[in-house]
Amino acid sequence: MIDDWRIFALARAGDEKAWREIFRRHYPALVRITSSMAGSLEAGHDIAQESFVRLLGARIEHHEGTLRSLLATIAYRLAVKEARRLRLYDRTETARVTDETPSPLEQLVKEDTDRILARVVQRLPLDQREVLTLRFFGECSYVEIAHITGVPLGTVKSRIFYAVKTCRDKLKERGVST
Amino acid sequence: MTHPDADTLLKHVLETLDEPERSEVAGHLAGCEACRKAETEIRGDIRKLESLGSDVEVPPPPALPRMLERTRVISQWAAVLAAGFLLGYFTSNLTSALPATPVQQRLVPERIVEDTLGFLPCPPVDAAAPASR
Repeated sequence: MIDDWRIFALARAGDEKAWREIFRRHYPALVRITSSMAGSLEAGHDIAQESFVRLLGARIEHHEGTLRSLLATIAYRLAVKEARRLRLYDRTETARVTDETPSPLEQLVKEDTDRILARVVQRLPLDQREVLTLRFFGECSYVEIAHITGVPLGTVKSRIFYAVKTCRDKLKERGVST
Repeated sequence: MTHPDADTLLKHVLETLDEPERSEVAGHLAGCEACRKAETEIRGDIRKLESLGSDVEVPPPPALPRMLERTRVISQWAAVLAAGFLLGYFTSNLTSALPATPVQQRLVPERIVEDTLGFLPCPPVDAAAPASR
């Protein structure tokens, strides 16, 4: 498979096929990050698309890390901005999800068992949820997540541990396990 | 080593353990089938998390030429704003101290381009690519 950075360079030079390929490879990851943070599936899709536009205009001075993690960084920051605008960004609260309303992440998944897991993820405290989505959807390293979120590396590791532990415990409670 | 507890096993799978604990757990797993089974279960749950919603339908991307044009226009406007800012700055300081150094003149427009876009495009990443999984 051709390296993402090379394909992106082609896209930036105006190659539409390369642009479509970059979009196809990374859109699902981005929309899962943004939907779980921005409050609605529509906003998630809008922010994911906008992230690609911002990528085109970004001044990239190094190619360390992956294109996916750079896109995840852009998407995360745009989603935080949107969440703050909607006053959803409150680190002291868990996500405002009611039993009646399927969360944006739930709306993205198709299987019933996945829907249960999506609900569990959406109900995680925000600081755990953002680390989990950046790690598992954005494929970011812990060091990258520390840079993106501005928290110490040890805290990132602690948050991913509690996030996954909570998800596994909730799945067991509901009788869903591997 | 005795059997690692469930939390330690989870930290091992998440690659958040430090040495020497990481090596101790890895060594134990090599010789303990029961713990390997528990490890496999954890990896299965993590795969579920990683693939959650990954089959989402991908819409058509924004039209590339229009996007390239948009980023070009934003850059041009940023340059115009920066030029206006500099012009105002120098004309208001004609009677004061020496003009800014060439280095300062180069840096100011770049900062404005980034501010116009809303955020820095990418943080410095001083470590290796994502950790091996």
